[in-house]
Amino acid sequence: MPATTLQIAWRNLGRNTKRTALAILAITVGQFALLATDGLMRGYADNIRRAITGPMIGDVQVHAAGWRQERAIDLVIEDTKNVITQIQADLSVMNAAARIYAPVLFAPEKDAFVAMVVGLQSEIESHEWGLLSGMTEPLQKGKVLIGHRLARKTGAKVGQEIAVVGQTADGSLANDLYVIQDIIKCPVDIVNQSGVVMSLDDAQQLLCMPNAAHEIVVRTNQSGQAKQLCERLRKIKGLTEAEILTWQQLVPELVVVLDMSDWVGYFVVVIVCIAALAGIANTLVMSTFERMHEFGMLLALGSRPRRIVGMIVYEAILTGLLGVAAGTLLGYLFVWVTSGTGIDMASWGGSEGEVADMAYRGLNLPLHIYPRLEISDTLIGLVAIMATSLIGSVWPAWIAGRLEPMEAMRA
Amino acid sequence: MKVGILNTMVIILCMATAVLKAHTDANDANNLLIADANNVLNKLDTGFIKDGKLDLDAVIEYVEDMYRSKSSISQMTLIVTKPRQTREVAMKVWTKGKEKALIVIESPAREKGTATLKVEKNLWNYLPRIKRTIRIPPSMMLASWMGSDFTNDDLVREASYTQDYAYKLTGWSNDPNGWLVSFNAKPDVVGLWKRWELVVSANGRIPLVARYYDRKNRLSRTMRWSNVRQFNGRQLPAKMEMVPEDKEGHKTELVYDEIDFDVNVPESTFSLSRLERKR
Repeated sequence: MPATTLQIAWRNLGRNTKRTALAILAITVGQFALLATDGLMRGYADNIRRAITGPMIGDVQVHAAGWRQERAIDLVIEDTKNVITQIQADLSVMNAAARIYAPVLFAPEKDAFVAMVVGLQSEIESHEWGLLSGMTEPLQKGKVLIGHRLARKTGAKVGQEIAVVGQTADGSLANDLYVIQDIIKCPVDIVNQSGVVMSLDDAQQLLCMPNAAHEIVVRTNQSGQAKQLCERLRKIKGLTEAEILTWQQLVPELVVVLDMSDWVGYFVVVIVCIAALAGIANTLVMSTFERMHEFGMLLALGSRPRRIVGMIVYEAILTGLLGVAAGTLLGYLFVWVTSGTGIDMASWGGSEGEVADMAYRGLNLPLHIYPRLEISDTLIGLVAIMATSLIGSVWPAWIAGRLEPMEAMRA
Repeated sequence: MKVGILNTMVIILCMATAVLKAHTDANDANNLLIADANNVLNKLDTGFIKDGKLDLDAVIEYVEDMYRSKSSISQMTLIVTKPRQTREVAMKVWTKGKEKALIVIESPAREKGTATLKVEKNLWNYLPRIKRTIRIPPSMMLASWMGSDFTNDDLVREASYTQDYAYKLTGWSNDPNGWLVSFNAKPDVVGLWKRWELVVSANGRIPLVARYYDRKNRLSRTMRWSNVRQFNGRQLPAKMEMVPEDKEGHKTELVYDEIDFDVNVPESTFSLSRLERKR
């Protein structure tokens, strides 16, 4: 019986092709919207995660206790070289880089501007997802890199000699002259706005903090294991009193944004299901009322109500499956086409290429999104829409199941 | 001449307190002694008391120009205390009127010759190590001056308190004992302090405490004057201590070692070329 019923249900779909096509289209659009949204949200979440664990924060950060609150220049991690060697001995550590941050005055000419010295190890930071990602020429001694926005504001040019004035770790006056090696566009907004980037050695010399740093950024090849890595780092000599935190602890608000992107996916599923429910239920109810006479005939000829109900349920399932298949195909096509080139969300806002990213707490969150899908996204759509199709068939099936043959034939 | 008058005043004060002491109960002798000594001092030094009332305008004008006069040359020590370090800087300061000042660091050796020039609302720093003069940007006016708890703005705006704030005598303060004067920022003035209050001694001649409140009306920092002594014929507090409320373990002391008032300070002292002159 089920095979025949399924065959009849399949034929019934073709009896009113326009209505069936509209119902399938509604489900197709829903599944496509679900997959496209999931793809974009995953791409956006990837951007945020990469921006956090990449150039600025890494997977784990080490600071002297209290430095994040005070930002005092003399709150340092001592014996940095030895500490970094010990950190790198952990098998899960991809790299560990020391950094120095100090507020300074930056003077290309007589007028001084507020800036921030960033002392770093350019050989590590020029790797992929480092602060100087993509930089080919190493940072030379006595030379600095200037953030492009700072350069624009101050009129500083490559090759120009600039004065940097600040305060050393012992409280005395730090001042020295440097030559601008390059003007950089960095993934970290605060460096673009006010960064005077120099080698770690130069920064240590300027600020009188030999073999010391304010921050050690640790990148791991097991990103899900950051917490366990923190525990292991705490046992290192010289870090027992230090503050060692995962990126989730450092920027909890961005973790909320990431969680939120998952919830947006679920929200879209609910919207799609409501649309599918309306479409399928509408199609099947109309189809049921239209075929009252036919159902009456079938019942009069000895068909059991269960078979008629089964026929309607099969119609719903087939409609759902066709819609989900078409929607999945379109969704994957969309993600496949856009994943290579990405989508410039900024241009959707009419920025015409002037805005490429947005900054939050000094992090640049790129607005060029590369959509990505996971199998689970398709399965969620499939299960949700099939369930919706079944629910949508309940009402027409209930009507058909209660038909009296004589009354139905008179209809 | 002025020193002679002051000595006479001190002798009379001692005599008066001695007489008073004879009439006081042994238990509250000290309290009465201080209160009555203040009264006697007020009676003797009537410079800022007119018809029994404090001449507030005269007090504020005096306090504002206390360390400056028409011109001055002073020697001072800046002691910056932070939770993990203390630093001492010896400086020589030239002033002319309210708007011009030159501060040159004499020690430690590493910073010797570093100079700050203030002309009206502009600040320049000369850095001898790199032989560069830089102008402090307006955005740095609220930043620390020489790593201390004083801001660049304190150097530049010191002269404009009477212009930027409306002040009135609020009453008598018990912590410490003295006249309490309130300063409220005028509506069109953009500044760090919404209001601040000053406690001056009973005779109005010595500032004792100033408390600065931020835009949210929170106590932000407290300045205390102490170690009153003679400088070139003037009784002045030799020590100013600034304690920021939001930075535990931080304080800055400014100790005047010598001050010569109304000396000849040439106009050229406050030029950029003088600032950059080798010292």
